[in-house]
Amino acid sequence: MTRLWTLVTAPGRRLIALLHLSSDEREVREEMQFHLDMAAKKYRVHGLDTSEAARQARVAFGGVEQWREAARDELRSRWLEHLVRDVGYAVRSLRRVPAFALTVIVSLGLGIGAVSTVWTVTERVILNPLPYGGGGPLVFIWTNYREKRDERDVDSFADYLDWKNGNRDIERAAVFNIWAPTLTEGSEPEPLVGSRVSADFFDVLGVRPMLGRGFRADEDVPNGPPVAVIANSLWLRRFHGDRAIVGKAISVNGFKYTVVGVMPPSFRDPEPFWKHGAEIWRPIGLTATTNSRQARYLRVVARLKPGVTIAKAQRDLDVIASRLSSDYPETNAKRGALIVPIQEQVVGASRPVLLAALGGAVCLLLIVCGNVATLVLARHAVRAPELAVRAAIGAARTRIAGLLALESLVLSFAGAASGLLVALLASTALRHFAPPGLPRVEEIHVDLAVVGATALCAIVAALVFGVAPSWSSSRVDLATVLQSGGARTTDRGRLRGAIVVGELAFSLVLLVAAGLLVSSMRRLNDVPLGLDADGLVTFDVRLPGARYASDTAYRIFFARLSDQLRRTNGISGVAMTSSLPFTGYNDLTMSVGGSADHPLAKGVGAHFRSVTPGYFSLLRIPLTGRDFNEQDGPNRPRVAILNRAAAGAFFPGQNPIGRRFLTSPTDSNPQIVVGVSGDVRFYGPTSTPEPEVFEPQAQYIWNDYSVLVRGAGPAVAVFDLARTALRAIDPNVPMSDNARFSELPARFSGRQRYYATVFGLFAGAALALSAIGIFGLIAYVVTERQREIAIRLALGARSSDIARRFVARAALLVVFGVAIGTGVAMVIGRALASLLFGVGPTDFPMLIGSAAVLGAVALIACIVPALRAAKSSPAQVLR
Amino acid sequence: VPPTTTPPRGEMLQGMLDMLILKALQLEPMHGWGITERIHQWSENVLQVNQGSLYPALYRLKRQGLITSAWKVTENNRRARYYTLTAAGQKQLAVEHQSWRRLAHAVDQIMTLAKA
Repeated sequence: MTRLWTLVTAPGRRLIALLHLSSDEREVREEMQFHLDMAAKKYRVHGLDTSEAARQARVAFGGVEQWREAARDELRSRWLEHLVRDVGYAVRSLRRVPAFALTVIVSLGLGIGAVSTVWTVTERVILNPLPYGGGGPLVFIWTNYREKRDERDVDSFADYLDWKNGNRDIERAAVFNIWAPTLTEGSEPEPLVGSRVSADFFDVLGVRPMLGRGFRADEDVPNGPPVAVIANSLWLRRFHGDRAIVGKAISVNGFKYTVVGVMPPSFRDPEPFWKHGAEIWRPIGLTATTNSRQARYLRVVARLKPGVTIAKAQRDLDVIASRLSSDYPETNAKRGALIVPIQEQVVGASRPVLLAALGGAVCLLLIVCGNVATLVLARHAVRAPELAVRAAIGAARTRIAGLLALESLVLSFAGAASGLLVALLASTALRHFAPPGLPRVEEIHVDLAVVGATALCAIVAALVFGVAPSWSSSRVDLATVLQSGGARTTDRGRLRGAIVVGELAFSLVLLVAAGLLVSSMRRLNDVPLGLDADGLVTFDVRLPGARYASDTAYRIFFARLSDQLRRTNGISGVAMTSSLPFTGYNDLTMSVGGSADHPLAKGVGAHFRSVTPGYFSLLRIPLTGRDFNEQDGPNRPRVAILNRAAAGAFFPGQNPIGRRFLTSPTDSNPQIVVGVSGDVRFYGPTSTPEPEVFEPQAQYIWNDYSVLVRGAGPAVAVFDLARTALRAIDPNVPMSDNARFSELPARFSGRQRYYATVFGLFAGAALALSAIGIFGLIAYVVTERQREIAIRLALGARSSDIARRFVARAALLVVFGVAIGTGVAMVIGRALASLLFGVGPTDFPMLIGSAAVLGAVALIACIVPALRAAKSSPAQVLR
Repeated sequence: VPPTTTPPRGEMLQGMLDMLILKALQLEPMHGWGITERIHQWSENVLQVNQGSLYPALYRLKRQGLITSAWKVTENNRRARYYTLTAAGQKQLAVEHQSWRRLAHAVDQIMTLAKA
């Protein structure tokens, strides 16, 4: 250890030597030499020979090196050397108390690490600007019903054109929507996430392709040329970063698409449709005439003119939206538009959770600081005699305070170093185990800003726990301390008491927060979702466009796939749906325009799903009426199954079975309701069931289905069986997004589980730290009052009374801590409200429970020292 | 407090050496060797400045702003550092002389009394 220390400080000492072997050093040498020469000359004059004269001159001078050193000491300012020496001293004295030093460094590391990690995430996710070009504000424009101002629904092309053209605030705007192509390049087809965009898309975002160009207006037309822009990741992964790719054709969906541009690596989709953003873009090719106002399926991104505020743009857009409502009441009645700044759109939902986590981490750091402060105070109390001796032999108060503060600073930096380590590990872990739905996760890594923040934490921590106690400790009353031989009575106990109360208060806050989140999570898991996902696996099958170009081709393929799967040994149930519950992919919305039987309320929206017969029974969704069957073919009367929400919306208070309705005013072929299914919480437990209209796959076909399979054995084996079945029909059709369906609902409570875990860890650490704090305080008071206790016992006090006194003292601290903590928790709880489900931010049973846990832990922590006090032997102490 | 290098005790009190150095420099700038020689001579060979404590004293006085230093060439064509009394040094010399006189008088009085 000593050798290690020498090793660590040696470069420092060498550096100092180097610094001081400056002109000063050389001049001192020269001056001394001059003196010696003159003295030698004098001795020569007195008759000595040259060498003897030089020797005598040296003798007269005394130890040359020693004097040189003394002269040098006078010459230079030695702060650096002092600092190194003092740091060395601090390290040595800390090494003598390894338990103390380790406790402090580890707890500081945890506190600082927690703050650094959460700060890293906050900084990267919320504060870091998105990688889009400058200019006016970049916004999303959504549509909604005016009474639900906060909803963000997809837009129709006609509305978009009216917003864009009737508005002087918008510089340029673009629309985009999902495109799910299959890369059919090479031997292994790969399903991609893509996006169809209007020509202006990249210009609106202000990002130019790294190679080639974006789309031209003449490419963004119906049946335009097959051109594509690809993402950097796709370019590297599948085309080996070939810079000559621009102008070449690649095979997508079996068609040849000419690559016109490659985006830079920093570019990301503004609103990822799936976990990963789009990797390929093509022109959307929309015109005003091809799109009805009720076909809402587009996302709109716009660049406002520089200087235009969000508020002004929203006001102007409101005017246009109400004009559209009166001009087109059939489609736009009560419809509004909502402007959302892009940063808000991308990271807005994460802001409250990250801020809450940051608050929790700061609470933890404060508790850590409080704890370390009490430890440091106790250590100073132990060292009081030593400090008094120092003061007695003339050390200035500033010097003593300086030494003590330096010790704290050394601890802080060691703590910061361990904190940084914790942050590094935690950020790496976070990238792999990120909370579901946290955007920009891939951008999370510890950077200089976080290192700076960590250092800042260390200095603040040093100030909080080191310097204040140091200053008060440096005020030593010589006589008292030296006379009493170390046992001193001060009001230091009150300061420590206050610190412990603070710790307890913050611990209560964290306990309550963790409790609220845990109970939210449990309530979320208890919400019935409307189906039974047990034992089901799912995968997606998407047909490449070149090989399958017509509804008939789709129909034949999926019918064959169903048959093949059903015939496979080991598979006992098969169904398909166009929109799988819990995946969030649900963009197909239409409004029901009327009914053949009777007029409907205008503008009732519903989600359309295309499913195979057996879907409801496989998912155990209750069904009244009948399921679809083989007779519901393409040329048979159109049938539909409504969920209960749709039935209530279309035919309020009536039996819908047998009734007919139309899906649009232009539709002349009504659908007959043959069944009513139970409601499914499509978006998970927090969502309310929305109206859904199910149609048989044979009558309403699509090229992209989620297949649900019930099979015997492990999921991997079932996937293998399914893959073999798929290959038997067409080896060029890929299988994607394999998942255990039963695990999907967990995604919804995943967020809550994640934050419950984080806060649970925070609260556990806080509880442990508070216990240490209260234990330390009572132990300290017991030590301090040893003589008093001994006298009491000698005079006949019962040991149970003595123990009770200390427990009572701890109880008083707990009462204060709980009182303050309750107040803080009430305020903090409100900040948590958006993370909670089924439980209010001020949940009294939760508060009482948390207080009880805290009280119990605190009392257990104080019982050991209190019993020690009660059992002390007066004879031993007093003698 | 970590141990500091204890300055070696000279034959003279520290304050006295400082005063004598200032006095020696009162007439003209001088190098360290010259100061030693001058004090030796003026004291009629009684006071021998412990050379090793001379230089620390010189640097201390320089830091206190009582003297300044500059490299010059001696009559024998060697480089040497010459020290010059500053105005502050002049004032300090007067003050120290005054207090020395009082101290010497007081000590002398005691010694005389004790003899009687």
